[in-house]
Amino acid sequence: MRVSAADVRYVTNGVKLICDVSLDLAPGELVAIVGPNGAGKSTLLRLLAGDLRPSHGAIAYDTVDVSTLRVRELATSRAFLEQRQAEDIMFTVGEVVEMGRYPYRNDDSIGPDEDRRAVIGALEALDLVAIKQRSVASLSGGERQRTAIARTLAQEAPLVLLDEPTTALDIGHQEMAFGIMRSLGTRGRTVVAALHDLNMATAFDQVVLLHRGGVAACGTAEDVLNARRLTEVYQYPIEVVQHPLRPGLLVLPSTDRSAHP
Amino acid sequence: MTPEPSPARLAVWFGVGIVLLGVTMLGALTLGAFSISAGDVFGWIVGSGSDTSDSATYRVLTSIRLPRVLAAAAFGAALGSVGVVLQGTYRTPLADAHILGYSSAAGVGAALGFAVTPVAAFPVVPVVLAAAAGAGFGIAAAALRARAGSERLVLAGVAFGFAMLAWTGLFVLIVDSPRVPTFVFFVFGSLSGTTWKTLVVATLVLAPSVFALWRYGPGLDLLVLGDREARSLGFDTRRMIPAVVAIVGIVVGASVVLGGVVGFIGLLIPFLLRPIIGPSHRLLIPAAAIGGAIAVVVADTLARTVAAPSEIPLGLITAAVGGPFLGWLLLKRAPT
Repeated sequence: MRVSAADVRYVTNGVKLICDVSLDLAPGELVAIVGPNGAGKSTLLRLLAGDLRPSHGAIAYDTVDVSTLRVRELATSRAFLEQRQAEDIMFTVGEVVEMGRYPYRNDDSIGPDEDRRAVIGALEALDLVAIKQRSVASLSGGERQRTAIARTLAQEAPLVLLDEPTTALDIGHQEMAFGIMRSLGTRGRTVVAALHDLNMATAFDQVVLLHRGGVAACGTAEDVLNARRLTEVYQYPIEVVQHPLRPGLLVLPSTDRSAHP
Repeated sequence: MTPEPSPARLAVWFGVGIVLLGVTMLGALTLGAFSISAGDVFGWIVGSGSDTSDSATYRVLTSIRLPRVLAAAAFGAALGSVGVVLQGTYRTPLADAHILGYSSAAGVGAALGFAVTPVAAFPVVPVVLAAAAGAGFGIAAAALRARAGSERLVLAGVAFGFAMLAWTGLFVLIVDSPRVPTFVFFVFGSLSGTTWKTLVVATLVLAPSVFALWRYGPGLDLLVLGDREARSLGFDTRRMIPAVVAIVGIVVGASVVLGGVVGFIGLLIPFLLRPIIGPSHRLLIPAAAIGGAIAVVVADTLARTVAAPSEIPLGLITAAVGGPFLGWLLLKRAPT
């Protein structure tokens, strides 16, 4: 599914949170949205998810204006992982992942076998099979995060929006999560993730750097993630070097504090 | 934090609940100021007592005791199931029709309805007015829900509840009509005025409404994730939550006409059953309906037998027993 944002602006309580953002995301593309705290990453994701309505401009899935979609239609068009997850959930991991199938409840073309396959696939992908009978309230933060990602996967939507999906995960599960995003991309799903980890962003097809609600730069990681721009946007000295062990970039805080703008 | 039990264990729990309800109701039919033996009740059930259908025993049984026991079961089922739904909707185990002010709001409608028409002759008007008041209160609360948050809504509900109780009290005192029940009915409830007519009319409202709430079960489950997540998964919270709480208001309205304002059932029963049945609304609503029915049948039997021939208000029993019990449970267990 192609996702486009045309001159999107979002204003709330007189404050411009998103300023004239235009994006065009192709099917199967992995897009990282990066930027400092308060840059508008979560707001842009919520706009792309149809959860917020733009004050100006429009978001479209293929050629359909998102604001015209009903709640159920939205739920089958995109899956959205919020930044924070509820903690006091008595439901088991398996039950919460099953909730991802809610949008298809009254869809006669989707049978229980398909629901089961989607749920089991998501549990396996996130390494949750062994704890699927445990209540979510008894899990660690990382396990809860993996459960939430699995629920998002079980939704099987063509657009997957993830707000800081790897923040609570250990390094192994971060790599697992990235592998899942990549495999979603190869299956034609568009994946948009808001990230704090700039090194993870280097592996995405497209990087959108947000600064004060606007797009500071957009393109491949090599185009967007350069030291001068990052230092300016993050207001902290940052160095970008070639990764010594694999192709791609490595983003590091600078050891030269005099470079602080 | 108990995961949902296996289907076999659930079937056993539901089976035990239904048998216990049946036994409790049969027991309640035998107890009262006028003693009826278990044999008489059994004879009436299997039909062998039909030849003495004009005897005092069978008249008491069919005209007074049976509608009252059925009303107690319907009343308790309504309060229990509504407690589950409100706790799911407000995302707090402290939500209940009584605490949140639904019962007092419905009480205002019921008091008006009683004043307009004698309930024994025409119970439809009080039921409609009480249900409308309850539903209106629910829709207003839903509008504030997103902004206020659960804790503030509970506190606001308590405040509104007291205010509406005061207005009901003033109305009852000013109207001073024999049609309108005493103020005690609107504070502690009673099933002493039950007639077949009120039972039938209230049940015709309660049964489909509780079924409708049960149908919303899977959507209400999603609310544990948060409103935004539930909406993101296709549960249209902006439309569905006002609809759900309006139906809750209708259930509370019909139950207030039946038995007045009674607390603790909607709090205590879901709290007791959640660790056994699990958090799923599709299971917890019917379980709380059965549990609530058992609790009110027992409480009402105590209300009419402990000080017989005088009656103790039903809500005094539920508060006297349920209050300390719930307090103890809340202190003993971690919040759910």
